[in-house]
Amino acid sequence: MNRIDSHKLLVVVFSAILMITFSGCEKNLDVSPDPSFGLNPNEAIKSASDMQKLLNSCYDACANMMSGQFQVISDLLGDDVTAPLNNDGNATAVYNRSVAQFNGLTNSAYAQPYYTIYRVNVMDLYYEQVAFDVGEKERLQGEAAFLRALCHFETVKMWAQPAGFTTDNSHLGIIERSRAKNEVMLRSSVADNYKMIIDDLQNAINLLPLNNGLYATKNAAKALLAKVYFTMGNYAAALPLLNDVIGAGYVLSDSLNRFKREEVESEIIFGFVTTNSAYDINSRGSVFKSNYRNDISIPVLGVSSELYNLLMADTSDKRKKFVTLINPGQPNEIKASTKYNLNNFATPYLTLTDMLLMRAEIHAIQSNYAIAIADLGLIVKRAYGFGSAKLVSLSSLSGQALIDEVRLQRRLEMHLEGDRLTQLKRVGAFHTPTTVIRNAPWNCAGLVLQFPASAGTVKGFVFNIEGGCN
Amino acid sequence: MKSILLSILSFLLYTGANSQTIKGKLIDNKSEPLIGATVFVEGTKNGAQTDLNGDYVISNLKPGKYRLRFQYIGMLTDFKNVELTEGQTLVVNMTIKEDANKLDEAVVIGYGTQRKREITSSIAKIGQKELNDLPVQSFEQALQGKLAGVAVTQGSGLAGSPSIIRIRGISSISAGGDPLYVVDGIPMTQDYGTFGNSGGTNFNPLSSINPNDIESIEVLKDAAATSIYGSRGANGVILITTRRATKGQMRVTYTGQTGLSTPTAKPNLVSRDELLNLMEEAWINDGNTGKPDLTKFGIANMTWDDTRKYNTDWYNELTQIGIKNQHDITLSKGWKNVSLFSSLSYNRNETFIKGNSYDKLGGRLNLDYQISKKLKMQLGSSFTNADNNRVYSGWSGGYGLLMSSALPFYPVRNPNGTYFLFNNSDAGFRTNPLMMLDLYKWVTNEQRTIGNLAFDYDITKNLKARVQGNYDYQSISDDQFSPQELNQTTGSDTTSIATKNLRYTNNFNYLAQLSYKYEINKLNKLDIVGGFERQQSITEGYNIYERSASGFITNGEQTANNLKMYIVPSQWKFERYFGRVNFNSHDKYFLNMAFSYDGSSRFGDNNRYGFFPSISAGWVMNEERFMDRFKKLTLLKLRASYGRSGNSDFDPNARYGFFQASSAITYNGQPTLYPTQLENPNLRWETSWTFNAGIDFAFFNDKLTGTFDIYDKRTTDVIMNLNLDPSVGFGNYYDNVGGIHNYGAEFSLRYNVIQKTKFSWNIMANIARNYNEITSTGAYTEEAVSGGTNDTRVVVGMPVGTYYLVRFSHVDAETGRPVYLDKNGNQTFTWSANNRVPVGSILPKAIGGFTNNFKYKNWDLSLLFVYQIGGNIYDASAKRQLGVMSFWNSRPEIADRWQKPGDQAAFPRLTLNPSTYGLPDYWQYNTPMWLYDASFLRLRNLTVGYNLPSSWTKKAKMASARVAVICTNLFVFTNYPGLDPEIARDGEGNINTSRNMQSQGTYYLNAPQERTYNIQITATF
Repeated sequence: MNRIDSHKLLVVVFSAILMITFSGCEKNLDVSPDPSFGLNPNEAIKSASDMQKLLNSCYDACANMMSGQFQVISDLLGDDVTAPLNNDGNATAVYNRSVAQFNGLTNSAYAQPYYTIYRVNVMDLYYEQVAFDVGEKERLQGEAAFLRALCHFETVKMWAQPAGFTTDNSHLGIIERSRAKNEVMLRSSVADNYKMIIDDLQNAINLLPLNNGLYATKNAAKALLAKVYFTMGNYAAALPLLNDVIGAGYVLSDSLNRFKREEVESEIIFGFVTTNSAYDINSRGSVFKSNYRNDISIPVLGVSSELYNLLMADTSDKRKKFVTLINPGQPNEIKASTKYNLNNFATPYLTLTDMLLMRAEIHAIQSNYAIAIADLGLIVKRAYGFGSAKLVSLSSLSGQALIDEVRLQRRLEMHLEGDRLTQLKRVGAFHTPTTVIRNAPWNCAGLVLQFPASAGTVKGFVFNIEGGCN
Repeated sequence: MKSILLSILSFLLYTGANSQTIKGKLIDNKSEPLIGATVFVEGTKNGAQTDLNGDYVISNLKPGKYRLRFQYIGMLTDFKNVELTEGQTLVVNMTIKEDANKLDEAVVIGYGTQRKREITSSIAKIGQKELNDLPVQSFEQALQGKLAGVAVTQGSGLAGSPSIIRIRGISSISAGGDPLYVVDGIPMTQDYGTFGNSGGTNFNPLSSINPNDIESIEVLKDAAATSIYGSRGANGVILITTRRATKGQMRVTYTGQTGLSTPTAKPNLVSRDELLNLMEEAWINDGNTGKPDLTKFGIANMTWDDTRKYNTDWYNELTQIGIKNQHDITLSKGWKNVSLFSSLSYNRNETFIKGNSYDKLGGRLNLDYQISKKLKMQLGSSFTNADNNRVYSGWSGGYGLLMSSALPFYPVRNPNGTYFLFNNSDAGFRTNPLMMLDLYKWVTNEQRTIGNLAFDYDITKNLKARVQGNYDYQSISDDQFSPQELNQTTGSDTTSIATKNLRYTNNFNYLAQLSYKYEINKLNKLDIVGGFERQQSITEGYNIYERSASGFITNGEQTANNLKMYIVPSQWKFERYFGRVNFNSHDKYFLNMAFSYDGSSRFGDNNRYGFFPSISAGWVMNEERFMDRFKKLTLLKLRASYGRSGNSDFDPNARYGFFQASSAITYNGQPTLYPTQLENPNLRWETSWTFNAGIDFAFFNDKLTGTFDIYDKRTTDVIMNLNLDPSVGFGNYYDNVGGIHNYGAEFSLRYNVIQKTKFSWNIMANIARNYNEITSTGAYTEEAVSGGTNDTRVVVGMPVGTYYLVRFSHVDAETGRPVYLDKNGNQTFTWSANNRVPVGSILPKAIGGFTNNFKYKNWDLSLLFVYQIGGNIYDASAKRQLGVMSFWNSRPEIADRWQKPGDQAAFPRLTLNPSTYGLPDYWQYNTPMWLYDASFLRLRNLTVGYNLPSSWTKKAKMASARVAVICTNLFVFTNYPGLDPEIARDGEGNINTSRNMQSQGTYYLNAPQERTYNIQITATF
């Protein structure tokens, strides 16, 4: 055998290498991310189980949003808290009703509901592509519709003037999203917003089961729809729904610790649950804690003197336990809330207490005093005790005095839960146009949050008017 | 052997002469004969090479007029016109001068080298000596002021702080604006956002390259130079060539350096009593009476009466004189077939901030082995292990608190010995900086190795092949430990917490290339290169979070006590075909055509490949006969080029839509599935077309040399990480939007003022002017992309990084309130985001530098000045320091404030209420009041050196030795009232966007640069 010329061999090797390397093709450039880290939508959603997981994430996102973020912002605009004690620029701007396009606190909050809404809309794309057990699809659709309505409802309350601001609610509302698509959309009217919310909730009522564990039920959808109608001043529509829910078997708890679900389970119609974790990923209420908690350090938000005095006004009122004094008598005395001195807690969203107070007010407005007093009496009895002077005095109330008492008890019951501002605006819009909220007219521009500057990325977006409350 | 052959050749030529002959001798300016120089008779095929004595003979010439061309490597090409008569033997002796322009010097151009003469594009080069003339933490810092059009903005004084390099302006928004760095052929991993913006700084991926290992750096600036890097060359390419040994005896060089680090400026703040007076004035201005209620300032844990008890100097508490030490040793040896270069480097760099240092150990081994006559192997490898001992700084606390909420009336500790806690909205992790410094532990460790192995094979004399494999491995571990004492005190947790964030990147690169030299005839040549390259990079890693830890997490194992989460891998693949043809005619006409056909996994099937061609030409004009009358002109070379390049440096996963399945994020204990990213399958290259024209010139026997370039670069399909309307359900989205136009001119000059044996003085200077304009943002508004701190926007018709602010008019003399201007120029007391307009830009009008080098006998003195003309600095911290009174300290400028009706003042009345200033909150006081001219002139480097006389070094058995004193940043001239006019702050949000649009000009509590004083000793054995 002849000896092979090493040089020629090398030429051949080089040529072969070059030929191989020159055979690059598009397939060589395919990079498929590891499925454990990221899935494309069609790989991600293949079964009813996947849809259930997607729905779970809707609850999770919604729970995050209602972990205090929306409630604290709402109360900062209202009259139950002090200016932020840490002089935080963003929170102070909310307190001053001067939120502008670059407020980190409110901009972060604005994005939250749309996480849920997008996910719900993604689910819409797959109902016809996935096989379900009997009733499963309807339940998923019902829960999704309920959560989308909840998110739109909470958003329109904060980023638009309330229902009743114009007689036909033609004033600008929020962007409503019903498709999972990156498409340019502009703000709809408040009337359109509420129409979509109501449509979603009526669908939910039709689709949801009566019992659904800790998730949305038919009664939850009814309760939320009642609340929507109540906020819109449509008491006639709210009342039958309230009757249904109140009559559905929920029992008023003896406990006033509404954020300890185990103590108030019997009256929770719908709420967000928390699961304890060593790493706190799934615990809720963090924004409540970081603002109000005062058993570790000085709180960020104190309780307004007005609310403090109201809670301390009646020695028999058990709810006075929810306030305390820090540095009493000192120049830097702080009135603080103890309601959120908790490690982990669930966030109630729809409760029997709320339903009873709504029905009591509607009946009081409609001059059905006996029913109103009966509903209110349940709340008062729990707070002041059986036989208390307050409870006894209820029977003598009627007309505006009764209405005022219902609203007062609502404030005392649900203080620092993000409810107060909505009620004041409703009263201003439908009952008392002279209503003021911490020295500002209920309909002043600054009581509506400004949208983030990024909402103006697309041409034609109309921002809210700023200021005008001070 | 070579000399014998030359002699024989000369003899043969001589003895063969039988007609007209030209002969003579070539010498240099030291009268030394030039051996092997070439003499051509232009217009004929006749020529000769000089022999050992520098003699040449050209015979067989016909009578007539001739033009002789004399060439020698490293020397100026010279010409002489002669007339040869019948039978004449003409003697033409020439003295050839050294070529200061080094036209025959090899220049690395990417996949090959060219003689400088042949370069038709815009390429700047810096050598090892210039690169190491000042101490730097990372090599790119040494480029500042030395290369026209290469803008280097130094990072802060924080250890490991990265610089920002921009070549010829900015042509990207959310894709990387940094040039492509190629080390010995491997495009290196260069991710500044490895850990985002942590502790007030980004990560510097370049600091692991030891400057002392670098032989040269070539900066490719125009498309003709960069198009061979195709889709990655749009922002320029920086080619780094590491040192290799040459044949000869062993050389060992030791360089030792020690120095001191101080800040270039100390924060200028009011005293405790002045601050208290300001606070009281604000309290009274707001209609209050009595002692100020500190809770209204955001100080809830102290009363007014306590404020006079303490007077803490937080600056002294947090700063020090940093000690720096660096030791480099290199070994170089060349044998017959093998040459070896190796180095070892140790560096300990303390900064002027207590607890902050950068410690680095590195080594390199470069081996060349001539396996056979035709086969050669090159091996290069380096390793680095660097510990960055981190502290909080800038926005995140530490040094940043000195200038903000660390107030002089706060004590460091309470009377009971516990740390005093701040209680404002900057509290939490950014509380008492001394407590953080004492208790919080933080180290970022980087381990990196870059290796390459190449084989060159001469298939034939003119056909050569190269295969090369490269590997760049980078592992970065960020370890933090927060003890229980700290967490309990600040209320952030009840136990200790340790975190370990690890990222490791494997970057493979494979290259196969053929090059062919084809000599059409003696005067016309082709040089052809073609090849294929493939690269693959994957970055993986995890984050571990452990409560009740006893210290740093020592390994990456998941245990029952920790939570370990893997990150989404960042993976990309890249392949390309490239080619280049150089045509050389008469060694003075040059034509170059190049292309790159690139494919990238970053893009979907419909946009996966892109074609990037270029063409360029050069003409060494002074060698034309008609230029002979311009005797003073020793070089005139014209260049022009046009080509396309691209940019795909952005998140490799950007085109995908992602859903994440998680059993860790649950609702009611049930697993979740949720979308994390919107899909954009249509993402494509960001593309730039660039025209460049240049002149290289020299006068007066190269006493004055220079280069002038103009360019025009138009970028389309600009990649933007768009701010989405949040109602879409996502915050951001990558898309190709709009365009950017850059055009400008560069000028560099070298002048040998005095060139005597004992004394010399030369000046090198450069200036670059770049115009930048966003030409389109598609269907989006200015809000489409923001620079990171809400100060800059993308405004059509304005430069990238335009400050978009509400204009300030004056302070109302009656009320003391600030008066703003609305969009139409009308005065208003109300600040509104709707009234924002473009008011300035981060981009300078011109940048440059100049160096003076003096030599007297063995002494030398070098001064490097760098400068910037124009551009703006937005001092985002001033809006708090000179704005609404709160829990921040104030600056002395506040003395010029309104205090009573009728006052004409620079600053409005003091107040606690943002509404007094018409502001929604104190953060929004964004006006041009805090916009400053960013022009500066800085003495970047002053070096005084002494080379020990050879008589001394010989006695010590040294080849050479040198001692130098090197001082950096000794002074700066600027109108900027802040700490340092040179700002490369940490990037926020999208790191690329931030570094392109904001980091260079927007200041926020950053530490200034270092001023260092160093002694350096270099000894070669």
